[in-house]
Amino acid sequence: MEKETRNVIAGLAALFSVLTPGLIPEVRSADTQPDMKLIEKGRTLWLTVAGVGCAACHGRFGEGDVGIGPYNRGVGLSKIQAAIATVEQMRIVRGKLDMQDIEAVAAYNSWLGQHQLVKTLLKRDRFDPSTVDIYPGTAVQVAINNSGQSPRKFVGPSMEVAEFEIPGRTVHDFIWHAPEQEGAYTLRCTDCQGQNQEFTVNVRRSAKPYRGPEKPEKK
Amino acid sequence: MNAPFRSYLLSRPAAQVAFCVMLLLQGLAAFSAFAQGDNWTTPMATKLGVRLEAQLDSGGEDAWDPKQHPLVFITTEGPGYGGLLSGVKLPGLAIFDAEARKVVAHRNYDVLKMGFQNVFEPHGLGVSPDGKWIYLATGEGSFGTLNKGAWLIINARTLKVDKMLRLQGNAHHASAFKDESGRERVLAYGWNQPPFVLDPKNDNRVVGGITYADMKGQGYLYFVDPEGKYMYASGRIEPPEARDKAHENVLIKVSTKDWKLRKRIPVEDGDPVWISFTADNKTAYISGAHTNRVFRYDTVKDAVTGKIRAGVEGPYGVHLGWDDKELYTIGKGEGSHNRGKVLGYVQPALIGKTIQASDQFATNCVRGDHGTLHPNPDANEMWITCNSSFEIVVFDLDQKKVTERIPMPNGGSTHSGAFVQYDGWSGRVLSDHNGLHGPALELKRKLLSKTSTAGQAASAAGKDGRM
Repeated sequence: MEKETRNVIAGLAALFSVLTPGLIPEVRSADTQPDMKLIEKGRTLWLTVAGVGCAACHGRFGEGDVGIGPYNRGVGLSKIQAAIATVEQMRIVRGKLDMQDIEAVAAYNSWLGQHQLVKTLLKRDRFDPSTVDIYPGTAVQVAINNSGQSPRKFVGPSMEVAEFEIPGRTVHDFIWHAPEQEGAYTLRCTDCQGQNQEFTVNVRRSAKPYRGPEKPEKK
Repeated sequence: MNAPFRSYLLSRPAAQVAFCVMLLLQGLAAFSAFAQGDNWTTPMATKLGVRLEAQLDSGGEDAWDPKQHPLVFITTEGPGYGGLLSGVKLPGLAIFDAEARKVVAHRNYDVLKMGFQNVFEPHGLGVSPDGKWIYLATGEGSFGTLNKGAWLIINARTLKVDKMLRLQGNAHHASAFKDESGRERVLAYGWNQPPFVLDPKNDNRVVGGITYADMKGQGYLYFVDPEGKYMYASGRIEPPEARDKAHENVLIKVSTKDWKLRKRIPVEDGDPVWISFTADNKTAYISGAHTNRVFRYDTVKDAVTGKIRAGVEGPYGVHLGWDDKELYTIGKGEGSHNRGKVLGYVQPALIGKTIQASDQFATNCVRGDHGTLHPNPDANEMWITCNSSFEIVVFDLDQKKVTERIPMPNGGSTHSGAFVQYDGWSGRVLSDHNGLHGPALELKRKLLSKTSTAGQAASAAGKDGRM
């Protein structure tokens, strides 16, 4: 029964991801189901709070590559509360987030931490990088930045990813669970100019296993 | 025939020698002609200290084929300055295919044979809006030398000199613009040389400009806003010691309609340098080399409304990308070490929220000064001219890294430049010192309006349209 419920939730999440591209597409099996509504609220705040979002300093995916704020994937509630209260640069969000908002942001960060981030840029119809190595069984957040002006379509039968489109100058991300079986899994750009415009995830045991940056906080 | 000249002849291809001899003879003829007066000089030219010293015949064979290279980047190639010298001895230019990133043509100009005693680094290059004329800065002496500066006006088709203008100061930069009435113009200026405006469709006569007295002070760099309505100058304090002690300077706003001063706006920096405008012309960003800050300027309120750290020491260029959401500061080391090799990254949306810049990238483009945005948004890259590593560095704004280093054909120093699109010999400047132009600017506006609409729709749907 519990398994069936999980499958239903997973199915609904998959449907949700298809119907609402750009929102969090979550298909996962875990011991505890994430509160996707709360996570989605956290994601919206992450991108918009104070007019610039947490993303302006921590990066769109909490990867900390913007240069101001650190890597934040997996950071929990107490750390976020403390940072808002004490870190000078965080004053821009002080008073703009109530407790429920902070909980939502923390849920989103925690959710981010459960996934290994893999980013690729589609520029002038070429992927960069075009390959990555992933340890089998890893939950991956795949982020594709279509830097061109035109929309592009993608499909990944071997990844069990149905066709989807990314508008020009837009970043799209989705969750993909690497199988336990080693192999090359590809996502193909179907309307890119030139042949073989593919992004390949090599699932192999020689890849570095992903470990979340922080254990979830115990209540 | 003396030995050096014979050696010169032996070391150069015949065509180039013929070209130089022609320059010399025509130049001499021109000097005598102009000693007797000319019909080129306008009252504005006289007022601003611009003299036509030589009128040459720039006709002849095409020097390159625009059909093979419809989008090019035209830049200077010269000796260098400040101890970081290249092996090049003469002012020159180089044309690169902007897609293939290969050299298409290059020329140097033997100004010594035109009567120069020595050669000042060509510090800038501009192209007329229609792509017909190239304006190459040169001169004698150095930064403070008076009455020895020069602009070579070069036929883009033959790469031969058409005119040599002499200045009261020394030549610095030139750029294209269209004024409010849509008239195509070229703005040029220099050190101790007030800004003057040439009409490329009227024999490059001086048709506008303003004196330092009328500006109530000197300017350093000059820009025209995207609507062509106002020219803005970053104020200049001389000598450098006084500049270093100053904590405030001005932005000078001049109407391009009547070339009258409109306003002097205080800026909290003794050494403001570059000015970049957003596509909607509502906001400009000014680099401050003294405080290492970028200032946000509201073009409607005529006021500085915020500042943020530039992320580099001694910023020179400050450039917007295609989305107007990212600023890149060229870490030249202006007023500082002058050997900078980094690029700063600033998010203008964070002005007023934090003082911090967002990042810095190593380019190793030594004494890079100008960045010029590639006019293809899918390329989304900035070409940085490197005065002292003698190359152009291509910085990819998506990947935030250098993706190509294009060496200068003769290993010379390079400053500034323009991307020009040609359809046959009908050309259009798409991007230069003044930012994007014409169809490139229109495209940017269109893309931004699309992004804004998508952003609003995404916001309504609870999604995010940001990059």
